[in-house]
Amino acid sequence: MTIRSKLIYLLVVLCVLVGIVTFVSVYQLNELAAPLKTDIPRAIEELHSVTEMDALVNQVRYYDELLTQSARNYAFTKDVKWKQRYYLYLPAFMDAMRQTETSADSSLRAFFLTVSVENDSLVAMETAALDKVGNGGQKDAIAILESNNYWKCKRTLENALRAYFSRRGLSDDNAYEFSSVTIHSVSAMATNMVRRTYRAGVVLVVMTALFLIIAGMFLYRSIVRPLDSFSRKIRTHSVGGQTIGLAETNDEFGVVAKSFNDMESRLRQNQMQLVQSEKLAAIGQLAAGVAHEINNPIGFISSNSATLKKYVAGFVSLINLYRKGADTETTLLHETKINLGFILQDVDVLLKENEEGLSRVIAIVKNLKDFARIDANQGVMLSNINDGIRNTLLVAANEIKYVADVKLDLGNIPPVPCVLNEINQVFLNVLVNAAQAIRDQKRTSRGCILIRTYEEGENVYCEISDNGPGIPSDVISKMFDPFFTTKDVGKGTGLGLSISYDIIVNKHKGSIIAENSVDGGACFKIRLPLTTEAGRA
Amino acid sequence: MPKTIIFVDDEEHILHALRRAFMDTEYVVHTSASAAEALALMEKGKADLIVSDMRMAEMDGHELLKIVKDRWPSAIRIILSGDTDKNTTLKAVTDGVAKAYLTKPWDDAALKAQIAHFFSMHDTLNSSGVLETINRIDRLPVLPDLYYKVVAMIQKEENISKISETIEREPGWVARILKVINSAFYGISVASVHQAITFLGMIIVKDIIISSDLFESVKGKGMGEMHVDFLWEHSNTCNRILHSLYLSIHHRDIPEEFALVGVLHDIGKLLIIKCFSDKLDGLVRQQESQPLRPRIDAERAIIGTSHAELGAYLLDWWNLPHVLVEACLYHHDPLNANVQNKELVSLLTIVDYFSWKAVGKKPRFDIRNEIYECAGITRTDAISAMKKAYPDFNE
Repeated sequence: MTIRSKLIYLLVVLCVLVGIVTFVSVYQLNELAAPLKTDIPRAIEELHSVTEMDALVNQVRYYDELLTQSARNYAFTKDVKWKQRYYLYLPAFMDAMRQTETSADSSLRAFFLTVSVENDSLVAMETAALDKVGNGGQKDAIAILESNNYWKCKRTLENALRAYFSRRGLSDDNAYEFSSVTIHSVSAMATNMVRRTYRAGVVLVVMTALFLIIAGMFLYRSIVRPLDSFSRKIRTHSVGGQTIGLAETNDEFGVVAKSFNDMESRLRQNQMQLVQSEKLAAIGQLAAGVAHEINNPIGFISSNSATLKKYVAGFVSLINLYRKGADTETTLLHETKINLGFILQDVDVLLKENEEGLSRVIAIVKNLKDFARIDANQGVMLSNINDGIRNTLLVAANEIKYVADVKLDLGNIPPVPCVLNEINQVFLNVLVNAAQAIRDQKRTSRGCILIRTYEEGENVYCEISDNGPGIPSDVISKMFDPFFTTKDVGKGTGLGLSISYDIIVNKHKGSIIAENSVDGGACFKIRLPLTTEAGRA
Repeated sequence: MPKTIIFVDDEEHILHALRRAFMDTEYVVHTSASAAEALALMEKGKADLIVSDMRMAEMDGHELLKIVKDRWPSAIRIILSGDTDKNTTLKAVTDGVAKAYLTKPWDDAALKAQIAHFFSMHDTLNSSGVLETINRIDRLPVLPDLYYKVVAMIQKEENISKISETIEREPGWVARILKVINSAFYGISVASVHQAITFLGMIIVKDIIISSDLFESVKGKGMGEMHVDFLWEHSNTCNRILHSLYLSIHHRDIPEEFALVGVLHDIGKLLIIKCFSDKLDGLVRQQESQPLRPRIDAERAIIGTSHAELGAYLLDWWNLPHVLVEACLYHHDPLNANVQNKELVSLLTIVDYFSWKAVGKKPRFDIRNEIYECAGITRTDAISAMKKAYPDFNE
């Protein structure tokens, strides 16, 4: 599965989970909020209507009492002001009565109708009593107001009103208590709601945290771990110069690994090409040097051959004269003409010089062959390093002989298991570098290169030191790096010493160290192990 | 009086071989096994020609010839070396220390012919006609300081950046150098001196300095076909076609040491403008009245020698490589028996001819078939190269 799809899946799962949690909590909240929408407005409305009705009923009771008192006072005192008071409040009382009838809801309407009926009869009796007082019938009036019928009505009314309040479970003026209960229940509901919401929130947070931890672990497993293993592998393998070869999984890391592996193999190919081109460059340099060495003898050999041809032509012409039986005078004249005296003297010298020239050319070619070991087995063989040095010196002679003298201090060392032509390549590299460094100094005196070999412990050492300018401190740390060169562009690939390093350190398990000696020149110390198992890996 | 030659080589056998090879010639031959010995010989009696090996212990051939050049400038200096490295070869002729660079192994007959050729050219350039004319010039043009600076830096193997910086510090030079490259080179366009050196090489830039300096010294002077602007146009055209032609024949760029031969081949005319301004009027009038008369004849009649000889003398005097001197001297006579590098000189003659046509003038000479043969091309090749360099060229 690719990381992209892993991430997409992860995201989808997270979205679904968060969606569910959100939905649940919203649903719960909605449920919790339902009473707020219906119950509380109803309770408030109820509270409102109840208090209104209570006020009306209290009014009725008040007026009733006021009217009864006014009627009785008039009957007993015959003071007109009570009669006036009675009629003053009667309309208000009637009004309040009518109002209770109309504004009462259906459950109370029947009840208020009976109250109203009782009231009407009370009012009728009272007004009759009041009339009787006016007409001198005081006793009759009192009799009406004291009558059983009257009190019965009065009691019925009183009981009905009392029943109204008791039916609601409220004492007379305790309507506020009701409202406080309602408020209390609302607040309890709200508290409950808050608590449940809080609980839902905690669950949501815990679940999200849980998801994040899972997602983090998932991401770590699928991204960080492969990356870590990549870098570890690259770090450890690249040091040893082995092929890294990352595992090509099915995700993006696989793509990266594939590109990396491709790149690596291409780089290795390029590296091989570069090593090859460095070899070619070295061969070119060698060829130029060897060409110079060979061109000199070939130069005089070819010129001498042309001369010899002339000499022979002279001899032939002289022999022809002799064969023709020419006289002494003619032959002598001809001898002088062809300079026979000199020729006879010179021809031996000429031939000797040519022979010497030819043997020089043959020696050079043989050295080259020994140096490159063209005809020998290319694998690891027990070889004498001293022979390698001597061969290399002959090949490098052209680079060295004009600038420096070579002093040899070759010890009696055992043969080393190695690929000698590769070791020779290292010697050549170091020697040519030394010679070039000395040459570039443009010094007046000739330089000196000292080559020392010796055995120590299980190793053979070769030290090549010179009295040239030494290696600059900023160069010494980088000189074995590939492509590092102090020469101008086009005058070296910068691979020579890195290849030397590869040959000595990686292929022969030895070591090569460069340092500056106390008197200023450079010194290369090459160590090659004598033990076979430490030979080529 | 016979000519004297000194051979210097640290290899005795080579000296013996050379002695044998020159045994039957009329030259007086000396040999010496070291530079010091050769200098001692020169002290005793100056040689006309010195042939030295390059790599020798103590003092090498280059150093030896440098001393010879300073002390006996008229001696012809040649290197004969077994080195095959192109850089060493170029370096030796770059600073004018050696006239030519010959390689070992050598062919006796060819070496003798070459030496005979050096002498004959030397004699031609120092013939009474040329010398008389030269002697009438108060002061020959000198090379600019920049030239010596650059040559010294090439000798010291300074890197490109340092050399281009040196050039860029000289006011006026950058523009002049780029102008030459962008008008005298085929298919190359550069924007900086550094780029120029990287693309073209140090030798070419050095030659550009020489030519542009000489053109600059006669700025705005001359008349008719001998006006510097006209010659500038002609020389650049020549060079461009030469490059294009060389490329189409050999499928590679012209060697560095020839790269500016087109620009330099007519510098004798610049010398005439510069030093014989009093004769210029008469010369141009005569040339205009006789459109078919070879220019060289008119020059010989009026000035005493031709622009070819004057130019070659100047290049030789400046110690430019022998190939350039030869091309300049014989560019109107490529079939002369003395010419060694017949191919190049013939090519130069052909492009000279065509570049007259390119500017709409009728050349005063014709190209014989032998010249095409020497150059190794046909007339059709030349015309197609012409059209490549100048798309609107019409015969």
